[in-house]
This record gives sequence, structure tokens and C-alpha cells, in this order.
Amino acid sequence: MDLLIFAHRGEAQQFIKRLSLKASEDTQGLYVGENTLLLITGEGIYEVFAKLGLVLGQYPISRAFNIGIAGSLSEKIELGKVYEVKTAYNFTQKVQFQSFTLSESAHAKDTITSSERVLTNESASELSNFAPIVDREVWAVAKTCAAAGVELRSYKLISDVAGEQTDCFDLKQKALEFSTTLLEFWLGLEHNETPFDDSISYPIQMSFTQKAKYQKLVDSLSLNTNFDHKTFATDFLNSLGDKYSSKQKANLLLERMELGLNPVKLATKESFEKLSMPAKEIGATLLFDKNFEKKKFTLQMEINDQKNIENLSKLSEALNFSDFEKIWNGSIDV
Amino acid sequence: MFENIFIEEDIRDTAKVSEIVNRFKSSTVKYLKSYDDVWGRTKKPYLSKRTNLNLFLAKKKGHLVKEAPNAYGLAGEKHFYFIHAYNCIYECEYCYLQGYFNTPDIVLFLNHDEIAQEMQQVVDAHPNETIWFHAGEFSDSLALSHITGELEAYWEFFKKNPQAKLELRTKSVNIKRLEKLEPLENVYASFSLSPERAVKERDLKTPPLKARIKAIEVARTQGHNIGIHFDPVIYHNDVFEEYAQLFKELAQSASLESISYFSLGVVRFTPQVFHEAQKNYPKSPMFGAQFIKSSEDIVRYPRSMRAWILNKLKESLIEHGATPETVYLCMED
Repeated sequence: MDLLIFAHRGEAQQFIKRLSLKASEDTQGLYVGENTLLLITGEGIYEVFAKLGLVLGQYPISRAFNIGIAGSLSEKIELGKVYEVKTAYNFTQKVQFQSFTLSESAHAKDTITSSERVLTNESASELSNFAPIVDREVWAVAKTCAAAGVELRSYKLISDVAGEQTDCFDLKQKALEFSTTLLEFWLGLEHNETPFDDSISYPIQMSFTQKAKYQKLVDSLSLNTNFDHKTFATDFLNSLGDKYSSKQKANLLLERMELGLNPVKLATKESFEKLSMPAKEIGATLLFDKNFEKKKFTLQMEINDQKNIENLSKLSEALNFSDFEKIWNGSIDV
Repeated sequence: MFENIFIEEDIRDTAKVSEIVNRFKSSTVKYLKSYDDVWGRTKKPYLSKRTNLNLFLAKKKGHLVKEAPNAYGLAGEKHFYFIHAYNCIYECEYCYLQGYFNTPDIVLFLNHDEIAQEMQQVVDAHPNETIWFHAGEFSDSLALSHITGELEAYWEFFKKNPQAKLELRTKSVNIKRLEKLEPLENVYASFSLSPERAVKERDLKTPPLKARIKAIEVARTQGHNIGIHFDPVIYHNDVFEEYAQLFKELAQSASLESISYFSLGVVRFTPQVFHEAQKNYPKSPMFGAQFIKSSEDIVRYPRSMRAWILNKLKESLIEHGATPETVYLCMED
């Protein structure tokens, strides 16, 4: 379900009419249609926080659009033109650190949301250091939508130049004209694409953890090569024959896929296993960190007999730390 | 190129400021008390540098020269970097600047005389040592040198202090100012190189490889000391073949014995920069390899993998004519 968010009814009036929306009996400022909701928040960030969170919590909103008028802070911004918002900033007594990027389009413009009306040239000049457009809501809308995990786009019609020349009464008089322009712009947008379906099928029965790992490996391998995971997995699993269980096959497949991301991983593991053989033969284990990152290992052995201690003493002659260091230092045949 | 140029009021009437402003006539000029009244005050997305990049002209305050981390350059010598700028005109997908500052906007510090004074204090404090100074920790050393005109200021310092060494790190081919300066024994122009495909894919907006190799040859022929950084190396299936081709092209242009030093380093990130790079370039092939977060809080390839890559490349570089003593591995133990 889409949610259209406006500050004033004047800006929204043509949308309500065109989309045949009906006023909600339960929530003030909310208009309801079959697949679309429209919310009038009132002016300013606090009005947005008070009203928008409630609606996002009550309805299954997948996309939100904040639409309305805004002021220009730069000569490069054209009056009467509609701009998409790129990054939303906030100025409440001072510029706030947090920002929200809504669009990566090269044509979109940064917008700063002011907690107060901009009625002096001095304050307009200060705001212009951060963005060329000023409005009263988009940052708060973006913050609330981000918290709710709802995708947001915003479009602002430039109604006037912010500063001493701002005439709030005149803007009210032009509300119908603004609403018509915004509706025409909105109807011309292509915002009905279906989301990309990235679910994949698994080539063999896998546990939840194996599936997550498989998905991650497919994603990473696809970045670097034209990796066809289905063909790769089918060929590899066929080559294994029937001597392994499904779980073992899945693990071997994942191990084989990992070689594409780190060609020396298996060789590193096998080299350390080979060097650990003398320890294994006397019932001891050499424990390494998961990625063989730290240049150290722990020797673990249960001692329940004098023979164990004698074996352990002989082990010191069979293990040479410099052999291990060579592997850590990259002497690996691949 | 720049949407706005912000100028600190203290320097608004200087000749250098006028010269820079005159180069960017379509930019809106604004004045402020201190550059950090605006710069970095709010989180400005890194990729906004593509559409609305601002320039700040300022005086650097606080520490102007800082000690560099261990293994920054040649071992056994002291390394410092001086801060002449923040941020860069290029857009490399792995660049640590994308997670370092809160904004991609560029700051050029124009008080080079004060920076040189602080460098002098460092040299005086280490009378019997070789001190390396690096420019380019937070910006490219040469990319904007034609408009900042800072090289001349530093040249005087290094002429006067032969025991101090300067490294200018760059991905640019902007050697116009360098060409006009007399080569000094203690100054090194160092160029970062990657294979051609990698340059096109990841070093966005930087000059092509061939142009960089040509710039190296021009500077070298003129008598400047040259260093070359193969850093960051990013693993993929053809990485060794591509670097062998790069070493070959470089060796055809100039004997590798004539290069003062080479550094090799594999790609590495702080966790914050790794996160930012993934956000900015989610489809980048550079993420098609295994990364781990090591105990030093660095995100990089596992130890044996990075050692394997560096060993093979070092061997290949030496096979192509580099002197073994001139090759060092960057940020590795």
C-alpha cells in the first residue's frame, strides 16, 4: 500500500479528488483509498512525528511519498519547478548531524528542513550553506519512515524564495494551483515498478545456516564473474556420486564455492592439517583460529598415562614452528 | 566543478584566494568565519560529490603535521604527514576517505608557510635522523597542485633541509608544476598504479593507466625521483596476469631499476569504511573475495591469502627488473 504525505490540505486537494479518497473516521488528517492512503500531517517536524508514526504502525505501508511546496535558497533553483529530494538535512537551532538520502538521481536536489519558518534573509543565507531548497517536513518524514523500514521518495514544488520576501498569505491563495502542478508531476512519474525478486532455489537439501552461506557465496561470486550457480552446483554435486550424505554434499559444495573467493583457503587448511599429523598420531590436537589469521596455535591433549607425557616430549622434535610460519607467510602451492 | 566555494573571512583578500575563485566562475562564493562552521557539520553522502561538490578555502589550525602509523613507508625511518587538504576530486571505490570524513566536500588549506614552520620543528627535534614527510594522506598530492601552487612553498623547505624527505602521492598526471621545479634528491613523486581494467572499473574519474605511465616517464626523465605504489591490490581470477602485464608496460617505458621504490599492498579497510564502500558500491567486483575482520580491527583478506598474493606479485615485479631491496610490502608484518 502506498502512502502520500502532505503538510497542508491545500497541497493535497487535487490528489484527494483525483484518487477518490475518503476521510478516515478514526484518524484525523488521513484519507483512505483502495491501494493508497493520504496523510495530512500539519506543518513542521513535530506534527510529522505526532501523526506519521501512528499511520505507519497501523497500516501495511510499503512505499511512502512526501509531496509539497518548498522554498528556494539558491539562484540555481527555478521557481515553479518540481524537484526530487536527494538528501534531507535538518536545522533545528543548528544544523543536525543526521541526514537521510532518498534518491541517487543526478537531478535530485538536497533539501534542508527548518524547524521554523524562514522569514529573514539571514536565516535563509545560513541554511543555504547546506542545501539549495528548504522545507518544513521532509527530514522528519524520512526519519520516521527509516525507523519503520518504509521506502520514501519526496518531491517538492518550489513556490517562493525563502527569506524576507516570503508571503505566507499569498502561498495559501495559490494552493489550488500548486496542488494541480504537483498532481500532474506525480501522475507522470514511473513509480510502479515491482520489487526485484532475489530469492534463489537451493540445489540440494540444506540447513538454515547452509542456505544463508550459500546465498552469501552466490552473491559474492556473482560480483566477480558470470557465475551460474545452478550449473556449477549441479555439475559439482553430480561429480560427488553417492558416497556422501546430503549434509556432507552441501558442505563440500560450500567449501568448493569458497575457493572462488579465496583460492588458498583449502590449501592453507590442508597444509596445517599435514603439519599437525605428528600431533594427531599421539592423540593431541592443534587448535587454530577460524581463519588461520593469528600466528599461533594451541596444543590440546588429554594426559592419562606416563606414555602420553613421553609422546608429548617426542612431539617437540617432530613439530617445527617455522614450517607453520611459512604457511602463514603465503608459501602455498595452488 | 564546485557548486559553492566557501572562503574563510581571514583569507578572503589574499591573492591566492582570488586566483582560485577566478578559475571557477560558475560557483557561488560564500564567506564564513571558519570552514568547520559548515564543513562536516552534517552527514553529507559521499556520492553527492558527483553532483554537488563544494570547495572550502581555509587556514589549517591545530596540528599541521602528524606522525604516520607504523609500516607507513620504508621501515626504520620516521614518517610524518602534513595536512594541506581534505578530500579528493577522484572517486575510487575502495578509498578510505568515504568513511573517514562526514562529507566529500574538499578543503584546501592555504597556510603553507605555517605548515612548513611546523615541519621545521619536527626536523629540528630529530637532528640525526632521516624524516619522511608525506603529502596526500587525506587528498591527492598533485591533482589540484596547478591551482593551489603549494609545491613551490614546500620545495624551498626541502632544499633547505636535505636530511628531510618528501613524498608526493598521486593518481593524477598533473605534473605541470612539478616539471617547472628543479629535481631535488630528497623529493619523490610517487604514483599509484593498478592494471588498466582495475583503473577503469574502480578508480573512477582518474586518468587512464597509459597517461599515468607517460607522466611517470616525463618526471623521471626530467630527473625527479620516482616511487610507485601498487596498492591496493584487489584479488580476482586474472590478478597475476594483469599485474604482470602492468609491470611489463612499465618496464618498457622505463627500466624498473631506475625507480627509487615500489610498495605493494592488498586492499584493506576499517570496518566503517568497509560498510560505507558496500553501501556506495554494492555491486563492485572488489567484494567478490573473502574478507575477514582481523584482531587489529582491519577488514582484509585472510593472512595466508594476502601473503600469497603479495609474494607472487613481488616475485613478478623482480622478474620484470625491479631491484629486490626497493620493493616493500605496505602495512604488513
